[in-house]
Amino acid sequence: MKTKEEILEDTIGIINEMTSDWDIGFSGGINADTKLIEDLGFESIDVVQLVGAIEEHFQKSGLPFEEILIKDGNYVDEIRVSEIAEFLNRHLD
Amino acid sequence: MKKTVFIGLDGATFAVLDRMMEEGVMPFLKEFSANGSRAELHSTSNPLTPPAWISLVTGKGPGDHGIFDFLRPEEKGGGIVMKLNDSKDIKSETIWSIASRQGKRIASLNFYGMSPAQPVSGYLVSGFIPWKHLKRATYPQEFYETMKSLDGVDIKSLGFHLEQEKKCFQGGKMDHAESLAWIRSHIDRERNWFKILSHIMQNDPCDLTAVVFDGVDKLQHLFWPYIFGELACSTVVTPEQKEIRELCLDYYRAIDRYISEAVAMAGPGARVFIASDHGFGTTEEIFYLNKWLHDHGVLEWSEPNNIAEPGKLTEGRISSHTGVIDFNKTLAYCWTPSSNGIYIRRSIDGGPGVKPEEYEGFREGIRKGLLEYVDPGTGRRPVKSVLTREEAFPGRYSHLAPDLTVLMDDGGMVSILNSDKTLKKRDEPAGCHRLEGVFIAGGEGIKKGFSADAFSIEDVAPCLLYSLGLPVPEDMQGRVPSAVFEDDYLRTCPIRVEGRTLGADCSRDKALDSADSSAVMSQLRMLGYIE
Repeated sequence: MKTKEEILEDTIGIINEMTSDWDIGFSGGINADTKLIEDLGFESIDVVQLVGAIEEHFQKSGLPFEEILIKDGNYVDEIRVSEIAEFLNRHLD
Repeated sequence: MKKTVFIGLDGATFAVLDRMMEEGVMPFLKEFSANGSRAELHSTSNPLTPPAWISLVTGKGPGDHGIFDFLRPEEKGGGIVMKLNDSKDIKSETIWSIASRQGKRIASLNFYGMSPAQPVSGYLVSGFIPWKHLKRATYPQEFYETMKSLDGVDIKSLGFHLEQEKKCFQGGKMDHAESLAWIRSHIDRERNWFKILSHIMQNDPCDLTAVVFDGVDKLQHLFWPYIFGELACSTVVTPEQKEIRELCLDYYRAIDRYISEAVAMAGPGARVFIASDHGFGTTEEIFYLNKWLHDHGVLEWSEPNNIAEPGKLTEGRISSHTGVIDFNKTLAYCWTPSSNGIYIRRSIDGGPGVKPEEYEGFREGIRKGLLEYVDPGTGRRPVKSVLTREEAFPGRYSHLAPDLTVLMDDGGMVSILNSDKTLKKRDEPAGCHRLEGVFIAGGEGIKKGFSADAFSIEDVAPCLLYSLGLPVPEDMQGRVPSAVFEDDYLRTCPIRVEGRTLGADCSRDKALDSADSSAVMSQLRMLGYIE
């Protein structure tokens, strides 16, 4: 079973891999406080792809990502890397 | 064994292609078609890209492969959550996998629904994926770097631009400069896909090489009156309109060149198959399906006074599909214009929805009501048929399909938005999907100058497997369209129907029977994953 720190590291790794070609001009490196939308320019389709990449990485499908991504029927305005890692920490065995 | 090439033209219809061939826009296709065989190819019950392309590559109907639309609704905590379908949601094995595990090398380029990319023997790059996510959609992933490095290839042009393509469903107009830029972007996309195709065909030719050019569908959605000959006569009048039409024709000219060059690269005797996932035709009106459901007391709006702009089928943000409807007070809803489908909410443990014992009567009531709807302006009934899920999508996964599928008499997609009227005439005619797509074949063993009776899109996968010298799995619904093959060829290379497809998710978390497990291990061994 992965520790909180390992899950965070994996999450950052997945996002790094995903965004490596994006020319987003984000300096400082992705960390726990990085915001997907403001800092990395994520759109809703990118969030969907990220969910898929995370599920593949952790070999776990059907995770209830809507808990952190959907509010009142719409995608949230912002989400931090740390929130994703904390969500995974709660839901991964 | 001769090479097999498949070229997909999303949305192609003989109603356009025949005229393009006659008017000299597609001279190679004219010659190729005249020297080969052709037939109408019938799409899935709801002729739509996701179920249709997946039926084409699996040889099975949507009720067995489980894909009915781009999106699917899932009930979560009393509300509805949008899920985007991807390759993991396909419940059937594709021809890429079937061919790979039987020793054939394949190249699959720009097919809908192939991401995340699954291992094959050869290459797979999914279509309908934003460029930012192409790496995950590519197998092997190193090939992504190869594509980036190819001279003249702009990796960003290969991708699916959601903001651009939403225009096909949102309605609304682009100004002249925007229109030209939009068409040029699709010409550019196809040029890039063709470069990838050429690279593979010249450097690592595969037994089966397949590519989809999806710009046909996109251009026809937005510029149908400029493309469809019967409408173009009255639509294309001003210099600006002529410029748009000419650029659309340039697109078809480019496709013709790519087909010509692909046939040349395939080599003598190769068999080349061209097909579309569905056809196209004219629609002149919009049916506001959710408005009809609201008027019949089974749907509530979130914002009742939010009336749709003319010509608009859906909201700008995909996530807003959920926002237009108050699901707390809704029993039945249409989820997307593309589905033309109605989902009925079922009550579970006394929760919101229709009680199980009332479901059949409720569904039949909606179906009957829609069929009886009369346009007050003309007195006609615009709803041609309303199919239950069992009728439209029979199979193991029928329960995932919309409860009802509504087919309009002009083939139009519905609008999910609110309106002051249930049926409205469009400001101008538009293009919409039709059942009747195209199939054209040429090469060794294919009849010359032959026109066959129509057959099903599920028959294409068996056809390609037969062309590769492989047996057709018994559990494929499709069958080899033997009418297009020469009798001598059929005698010397008889069609074999044997074996079964593997479950699509057999390598993930589903238990395998021993036969499946053995086949999967063979595949993994062949691909070098295990000793």
